[in-house]
Amino acid sequence: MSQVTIKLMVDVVGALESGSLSGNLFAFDTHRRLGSQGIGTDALHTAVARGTRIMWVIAPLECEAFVSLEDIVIDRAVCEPELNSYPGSSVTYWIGTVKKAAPLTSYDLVFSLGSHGRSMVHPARLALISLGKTSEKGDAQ
Amino acid sequence: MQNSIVLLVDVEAALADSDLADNVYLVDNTRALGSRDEGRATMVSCVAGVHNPDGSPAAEAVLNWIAYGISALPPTLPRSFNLRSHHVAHDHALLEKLAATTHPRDVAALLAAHHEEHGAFGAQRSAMPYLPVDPRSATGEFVSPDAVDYAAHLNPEIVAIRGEAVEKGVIFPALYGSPDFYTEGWYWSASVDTNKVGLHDYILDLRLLRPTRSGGAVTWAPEIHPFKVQIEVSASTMVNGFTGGPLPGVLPLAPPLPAAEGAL
Repeated sequence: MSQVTIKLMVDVVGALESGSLSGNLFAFDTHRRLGSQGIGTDALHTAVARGTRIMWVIAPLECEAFVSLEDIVIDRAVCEPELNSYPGSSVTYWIGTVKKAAPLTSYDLVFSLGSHGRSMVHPARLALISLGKTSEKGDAQ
Repeated sequence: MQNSIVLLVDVEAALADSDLADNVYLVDNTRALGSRDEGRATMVSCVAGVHNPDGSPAAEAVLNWIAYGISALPPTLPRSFNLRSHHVAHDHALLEKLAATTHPRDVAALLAAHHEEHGAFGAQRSAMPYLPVDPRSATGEFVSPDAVDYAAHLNPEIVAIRGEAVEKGVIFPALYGSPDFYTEGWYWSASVDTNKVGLHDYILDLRLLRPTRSGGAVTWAPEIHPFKVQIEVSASTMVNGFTGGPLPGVLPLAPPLPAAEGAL
C-alpha cells in the first residue's frame, strides 16, 4: 500500500484580507512522479490508486497565524477521510484510504482561519485522479 | 518588513532523483507586494525597501527561511516538548511494568514489545547525530531509525546561504537560535541592503539524509544540494498610509463624540 502526503499551505493573512482561499492556498503532494498535477497551486490533482493511503496536513505560511482543516467533503464511495490528532497535542491531520479508483474526484476543503475561527470553503479545486498503470511508489524508491 | 520564505521539499523524490530540480517548491508572504511564481521552484521574492525622503532607510527588510519536507511532521507541532516527553514517558511506563514483573520471560517480552513499538529503551542515537531523538512519521507514529523509509519524513535542513547576493552585500544571512521553546531551534535570517535595487541570485545549500543499508545496519549519509533562488529588491519613499503624502500628519481619526446628556 502506498501513501501520499498532501500538505496544504495557507496564507492566512491573505485569505482573511481577500475573503477567499483562491490564490492563498498552496497544495503539495509527494506523487509528482506518479502523475500528480498542479503541485504548488490551489488546484492540486493527486494521482492515487485503490488502496492509496492519503494524509492531509496543513501548515500556515506564517506560524503566528492559526488555521485548521475542519472538513474534507468528498464522495464517500471513493474515500472517507477521518480526523486524527497527534499524540498529546491539539494539532490535527486527516487520513483516508482510496476505496476505488475514479478518473477524477474533486473535493471541498473547509478551513477555520484566524483567532476568530472564520470558516472558509475552498470548493472543488482539489481532486484525486487515477494513478493509471504507472508503478507504485515503492518501486521508484 | 519580515519576508517569510518557505521551501517545501519532496525529500523522497529528491533522493531518488539525486537532484532538487522539480522537487522543491517555494512560497512567501509578499505576493501582494510583487513576488511571483509562488508555489514553484522559480519563485522570485519581492523585497520592498522603504526610504525616507532624504534617502536613508526608513525600515529594515529581513528575510527568514525555513525548509519543510512535504511528508514531515507539521511545523505547528511542538516536537521538542511533547514528543520527546512522550519518548521519556514510554520509557517510564516500561520501567513501571518491569518493576511489577518477576519472571525473566516476561521481562524479555516487555523489552521486545517496547523496542518494537517505541525503539530501544533510553536510546540516544548518538551514532546518528543528524536524526531527531524521537523520529516520527508524518502520522506521528514512531519510526525506527533503522527504517530507510524514514528518509521521506525528515525535514531538509538549510546549512548555508551563499552566492552573488551575499558576495555583493545585498543580504547578510546568519543562523539564529529561536527564542521560541517550541520550534526546536534554529532558523536562517538575513537583513537586506535595500539600496541595492534589482534582481539578485543566491544559493541555499540544503542537506538531505540518504539512508543506505549495509549488512543489516543503516547509515545515514548527509548530502548537500545547492538550490538557486532569486530576490528582487525595490525601493520607494515612505509614504503616510492614510494621506498618501510623504510626511507624517494627523491621523484621520473621527473626533470624539460629545457625551450624551445625562451620561456619567
